[in-house]
Amino acid sequence: MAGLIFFGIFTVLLLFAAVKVVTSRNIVHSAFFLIMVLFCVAAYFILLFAEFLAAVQILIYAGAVVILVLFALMLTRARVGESTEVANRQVIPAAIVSLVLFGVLGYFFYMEKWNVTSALIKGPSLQDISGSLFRNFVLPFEVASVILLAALVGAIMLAIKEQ
Amino acid sequence: MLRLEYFLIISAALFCIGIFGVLSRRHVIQLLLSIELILNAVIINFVAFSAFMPTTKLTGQVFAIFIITLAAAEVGIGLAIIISVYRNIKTAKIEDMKILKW
Repeated sequence: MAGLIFFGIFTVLLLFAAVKVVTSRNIVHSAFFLIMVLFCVAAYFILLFAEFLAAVQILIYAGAVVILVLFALMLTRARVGESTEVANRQVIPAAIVSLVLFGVLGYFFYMEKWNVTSALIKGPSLQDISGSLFRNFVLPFEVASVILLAALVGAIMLAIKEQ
Repeated sequence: MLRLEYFLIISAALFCIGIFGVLSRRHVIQLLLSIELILNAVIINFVAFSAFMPTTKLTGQVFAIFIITLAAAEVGIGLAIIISVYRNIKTAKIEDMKILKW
C-alpha cells in the first residue's frame, strides 16, 4: 500500500517534469527538469527492487549526461533568457500523433493478459547482477565498452578545433 | 498493490511526451533531451518486466545497464556533432541545418 502511494507521488512529479522538459521556453530549465525526470525514474527503480540501477541512473544520467548537455549549451552560446520561438509549426499535429500513440499503446498494455507474478518479490542482489553481467552477458558487455570508447574518441575528433 | 500495467502505461506516457518533443522543438539540444525521455521510458519497461517476470539471468536489468551506457555514448557523439555544426554555420536551430538538403 505504501508502494502505491509513493508510486502515485512519483508519477505526478515525473509527468509534470517530463511535460516541462518538452514545453519549457528556456533550454536550461529543460535540462534541469530532465534531472527531475531522472530522479523520479530512479525512484521507480527502487520501488521495483533495482537499487543498483537507481544508483547508476543518478550517477551516470543525472550526474554526467545532463552536465554534458549544460556544457554543450554553454559552448553553443544559447541565450539563457527566454526565447520567443521554441516550437516549430508542427505543434498541433505532433500533439495529435503523440496522444493517439499513447491511446493505442495504453489500450493494448491494459488489455493484454500479462503472464506475470501477481506480487513483486524481493529483488536480486548486486552479486546476482554482476554474475549475470560477467557470465551470461560478457560478450555484449565487452562490445558496449568498445562502443563507448569509440564514441568518446569520435566525439573528441569531431569537436577538436582544426588548425 | 503495484501491478505491471501501471509501469507500462506510465512508460508509454513518457515515450509519447518524448515523441512530442522530438516532433515539435526547434533547438537541437532540446531534441536530444527528448530522446533521453524516450530512452528512459524504455528503461522503465525493461526493469518492470525484469521485476515482474523473475528469471535467474536478470536480462532486463542487464539490458537497462547497456541502454544507459549507449545513451551516454549517444549524447557524447550528438553534442560533438552539434558543437561542430554550430562552429560552421553558427546556428543550433534544426530547420537551419539544411546544407545537405539541396
